[in-house]
Amino acid sequence: MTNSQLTYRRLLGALMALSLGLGGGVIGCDEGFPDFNEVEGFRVLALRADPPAIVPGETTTLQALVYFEGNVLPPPDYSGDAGTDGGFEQDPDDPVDAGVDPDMGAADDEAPAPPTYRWTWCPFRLPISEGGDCYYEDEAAFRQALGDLVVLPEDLSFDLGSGPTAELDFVLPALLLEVLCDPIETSSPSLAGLFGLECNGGFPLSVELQTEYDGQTISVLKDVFLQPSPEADYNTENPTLIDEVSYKLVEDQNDFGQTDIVEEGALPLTKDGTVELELGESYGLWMNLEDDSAQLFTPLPTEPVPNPEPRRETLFVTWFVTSGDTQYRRTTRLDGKNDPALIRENVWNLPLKMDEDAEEAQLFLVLRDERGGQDWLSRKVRLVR
Amino acid sequence: MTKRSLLVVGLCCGFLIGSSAWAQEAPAQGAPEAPPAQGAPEAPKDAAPESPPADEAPKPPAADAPPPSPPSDPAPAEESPGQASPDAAAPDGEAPAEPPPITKLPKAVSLQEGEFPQKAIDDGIEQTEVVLTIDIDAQGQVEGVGVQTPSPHPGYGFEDAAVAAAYGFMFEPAMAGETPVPVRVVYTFKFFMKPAVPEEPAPGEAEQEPPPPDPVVNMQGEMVVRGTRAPIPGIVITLFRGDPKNPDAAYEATTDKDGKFQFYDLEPGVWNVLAESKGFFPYRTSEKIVEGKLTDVKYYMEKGGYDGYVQIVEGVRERKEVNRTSLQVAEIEKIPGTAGDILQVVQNLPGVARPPFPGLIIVRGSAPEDTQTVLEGMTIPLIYHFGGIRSVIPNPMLKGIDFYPGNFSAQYGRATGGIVDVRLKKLQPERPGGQIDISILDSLLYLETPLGDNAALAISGRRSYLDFLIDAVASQQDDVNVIAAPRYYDAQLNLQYRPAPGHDLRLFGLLSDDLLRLLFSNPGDGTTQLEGNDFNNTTSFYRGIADYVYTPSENFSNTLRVSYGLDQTKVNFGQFFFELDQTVLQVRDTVSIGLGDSVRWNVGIDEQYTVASFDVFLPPPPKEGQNSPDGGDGPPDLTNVLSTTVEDQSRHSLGLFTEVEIKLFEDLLLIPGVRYDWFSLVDAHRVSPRFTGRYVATEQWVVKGGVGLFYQEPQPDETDVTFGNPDLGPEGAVHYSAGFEYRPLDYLTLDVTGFYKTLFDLVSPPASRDVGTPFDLVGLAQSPAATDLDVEAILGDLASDGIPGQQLTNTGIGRVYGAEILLRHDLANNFTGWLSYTLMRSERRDRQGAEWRLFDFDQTHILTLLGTYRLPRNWEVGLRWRLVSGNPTTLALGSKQRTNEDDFQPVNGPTNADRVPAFHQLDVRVDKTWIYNSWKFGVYLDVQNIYNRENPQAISYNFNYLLSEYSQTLPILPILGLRGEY
Repeated sequence: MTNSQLTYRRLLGALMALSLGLGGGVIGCDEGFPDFNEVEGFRVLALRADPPAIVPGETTTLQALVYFEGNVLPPPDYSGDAGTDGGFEQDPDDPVDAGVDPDMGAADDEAPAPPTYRWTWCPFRLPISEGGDCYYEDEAAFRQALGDLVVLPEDLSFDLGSGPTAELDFVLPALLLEVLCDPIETSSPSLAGLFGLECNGGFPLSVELQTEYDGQTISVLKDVFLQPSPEADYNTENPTLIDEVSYKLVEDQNDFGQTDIVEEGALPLTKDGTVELELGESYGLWMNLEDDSAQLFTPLPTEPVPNPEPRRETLFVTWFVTSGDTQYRRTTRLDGKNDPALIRENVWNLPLKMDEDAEEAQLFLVLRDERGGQDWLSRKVRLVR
Repeated sequence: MTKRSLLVVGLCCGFLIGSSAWAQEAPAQGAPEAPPAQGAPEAPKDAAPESPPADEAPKPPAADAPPPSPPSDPAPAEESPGQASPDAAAPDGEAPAEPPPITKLPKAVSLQEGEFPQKAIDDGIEQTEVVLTIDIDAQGQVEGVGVQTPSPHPGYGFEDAAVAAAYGFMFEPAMAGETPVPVRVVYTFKFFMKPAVPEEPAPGEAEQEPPPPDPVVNMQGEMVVRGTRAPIPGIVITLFRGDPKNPDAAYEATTDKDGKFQFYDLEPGVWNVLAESKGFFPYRTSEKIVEGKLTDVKYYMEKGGYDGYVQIVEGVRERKEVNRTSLQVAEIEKIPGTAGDILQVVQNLPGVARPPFPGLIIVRGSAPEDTQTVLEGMTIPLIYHFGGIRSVIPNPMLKGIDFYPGNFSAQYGRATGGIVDVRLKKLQPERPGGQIDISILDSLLYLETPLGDNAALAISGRRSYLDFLIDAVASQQDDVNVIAAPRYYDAQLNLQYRPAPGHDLRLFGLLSDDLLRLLFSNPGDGTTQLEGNDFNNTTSFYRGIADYVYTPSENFSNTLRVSYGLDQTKVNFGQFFFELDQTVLQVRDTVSIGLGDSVRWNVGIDEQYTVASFDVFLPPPPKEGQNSPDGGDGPPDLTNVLSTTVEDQSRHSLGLFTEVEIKLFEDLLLIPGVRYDWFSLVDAHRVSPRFTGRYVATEQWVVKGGVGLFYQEPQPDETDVTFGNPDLGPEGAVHYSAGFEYRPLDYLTLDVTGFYKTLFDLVSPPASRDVGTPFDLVGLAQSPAATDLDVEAILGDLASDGIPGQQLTNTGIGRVYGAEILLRHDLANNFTGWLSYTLMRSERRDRQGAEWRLFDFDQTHILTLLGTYRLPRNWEVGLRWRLVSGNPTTLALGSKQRTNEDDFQPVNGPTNADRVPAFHQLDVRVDKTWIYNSWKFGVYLDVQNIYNRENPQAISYNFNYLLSEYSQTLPILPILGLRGEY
């Protein structure tokens, strides 16, 4: 084996593994574990910052979509009204247990307590492979590291509270972020980029949510983008899902590969949970996006692409289900590179047998863009034989 | 008209009696048939004693001994071993012991005619026979002759004449295994009337009796090997009529160097044809001779066994190294589990770990990039298509490979692990020929031809058709549009020319091209980090290598090799890409001078000049000990991406080497040597002294050892200013090894070697805790230049100092120790194979103060048992069984979820602190070849993992790393292939 070959191999290793992983996922070569989008137990399905990027003086609100034993926080609006059902329509000061959907099984005295939350932020972290802890044990250590470089506010705290939502201010001085995010030279990466932090959308400040339920703790990291300048041309917003889902029974299913589905004749999957789907059947699903969900933005210049062209964000929809599985765990819209309709459709394969205590199943659609924006919606259906 | 009768002596064959009995049944499988046993006299039940009675051994006549007859070979072909006779005498009066079985019968080298007694001629006796017992000693000399059955015509002296003639016989001795042994044979001596010799015409009588007419050739032909059409020289072809034991008439002719033969003045009619030779099945047919017409024939004689491909035997190279394993193509290409790829056979040798992918060669605990695979000393960029599917040079182009697991010669450099030197075949085709090989992966066409007397040409080409197969399957899956997947081809040209003795020229060309293109309609199903949906991988290169070897005498030789080529690689997946375009020129010259009988001096230069341009936008490749897709320790993190663009970067790698081979007392070979390397990319000079010694204690025992220093420059990406550290220096290693070889039989060798290796200056990544963050630049910021937060100053200093986060250093060290055992059975007795076992431990320490940890591919036990056996009728069966410790692995202790990327990343435990279970697998291969007159056709079935063992390869996890199971290697995998050879 020549050195050239090994170098070439190592450089390509990540890409080849990823491509093989993609192929494996597509053709169903999973190892036998429950799939990523098959929801059970305790999961955090999404964590949204609204807005996903802030400028000095702004505050963003953080909220997670948490699933636990059939319940969801914030509680979905299964009233039947149209409109986005995220937690932002809820009062964040409400008690957590008050948000439990009464239709999804009310808590009894023996049921575990609802999930608890702890929110923190950290300017820099160790690699996750080594624990992902913050470099600085506390704020004092951070101040000491900065020295005279930047004066931090007196009341600066990494702690963001323990409510179901949290508020994050523009915690770092704008001057420091300029140092970190400005390209060192024209067409070269920024200082943060050299340290593995992408400033494409602002400085990525790491927020961590630790949520605990029934003795199990889940740690979720989210980058919130701090934009030193309000005039930055890479403003980002959360994408928007139209709260419409339709479905149709798949009659001619291809067992081998992709099942082709046609939207014509699809029926609305209403929010009130009255739609009945038959066990053992497959249903085509369709969702809708606002036309401007994928924002137009100009990526930061890099060495190989010193003058990038403006383009639209890439969008992803994760199709979480509490029963059965889906043809794709995620669907994609790559601006100009794939069929835009592909992101809208999927196939839900329902199980042959019903779970003992689950006559209903839930569907969660989480929409993400490539710059930290998120939105979600949910549906509930009845399963019948 | 002159009477033409016959006199043939020694027409009949013999029986073994005495110490061993003749095997009368059919020949052993795989060996040629015995001559016809029907009609041959039976050996007496009460076998004669070893030494014939003195009164049965009349002295040969001295004065009237008949003249020697032309060489004839009536001796039987090799036979099955006979059974030992129970009454064989034991030497030195000891208790009788069973004599060893006879494995080869005596073969007549020269025979004598017996003189036909004049009195019998006068009385009109035309033929008779005498049965003799002949004692042949271990040298093939006739020790004694006795008359077992006298002639039915007593009193004419036939017995005396037969005995006298038999004393003039010469034989190749009988063999019991490898030992010549004395035997007694029964021999039927036949007398026929000699043709009447025309008397010299008296002067003046010529007009009355004209001279006989010139002989007229009325049958001629050619004898060739069936399947390969190679001529068979020196074989005796017998034409006879009537009973083969007692023919009415018989003639013999011997083929010339071109396999041609002639008979003349044959009487019209049907003649039986018989040809026999060792290593061939007897050939029998009949021909009708028509008066006045020439019968022209071509006979195809089938060999007892066929090699995979004919190799030129160039003699055994003297062993000089501590460890060198040479493998020949014909010997190993049918080893199971290697898909006929001889380079993959290296992975079954001692000291070589079982790799996770077939293209990696992991030698004595060194990283794959520490071992160089070269083509007769010249580097080539890729040995395998797609990193391991198939080697880029097909077997018919190759002679074999030499594998050096350590302590290699100063002639080799740029490697701290081992060397695999691929050797091209020396072309000596006698006629145009070729080969077609069709397998499930690809098809190969190979052609070779002589060009006059002093030159030869071989060309070959191969193309895969996986793309056709995958297209057929993938067409049903709209998720993955296979635009071109995966396709490879290669082509080779080998032109050899010997304009004069001592001058050898060779031109070798190699072209290789790999292509894979995929289009994912829904890439987000796997990751949210892609900004594109296409995967493209094109890799191509070519090399032209010119050789000139000048050998005016055995005391001087000069080998000059010049190589030039272009390498191109373009790969991208979404927004990530890697493009390389480089030109390589290599010049290598080696002079070898004999200084007397016991000293030889080798000196040479090895310069490699490269001009490369590359453009990269990728995550930093993982280093050894870090999470890697190879190890299955986690998915690649695509959030940290680096880019670099370099135009026309030139670099030299200059090596100068010298070594002296000193032979002392005939038995001791000492080779001190030294190599100098200059690595221009890191501007480093290194001197590497090396020493090996071999002491031949006896014909069977050799003691050996070596110590040496080895260097290699960092990988190209490691010295890049973005991906690595341009201030890195070369990596180094010290090899120690000692052992012995024991050769109890010519074809059996036991090689035991212990080794210890220290590695130093290994390129290692910094610990994460040591990685600087921007805020760690506080010291810089507090400098006078930055008191006012001079951003430009900070960034300028940063740019000039490199990037702390990617700062690789030469702080790694390593140690490897263990022992290897190789018991090898060379190709003999229809069997070849070996048993290899390695006990080893390989450890690394990434930096000062860090803990020692296991090397990524540390395998404590590596046991390989493999062999192939040739069965009759061109069947071959091979098996390979491996038992190997599992690779070290890093366990995931948990994970953190990244919501923007919608994935989970593992939190790892201590590096390589755990190990996957052991691996064992049995592979079986069956080959069958059908031999036709002008070509051969073969079918093989290679079944890997025949007992379908679920071998753990690595640990795989569910999406959030809370559940785990072992990912498996391939289940039972049958591969069918076809091969035609012309």
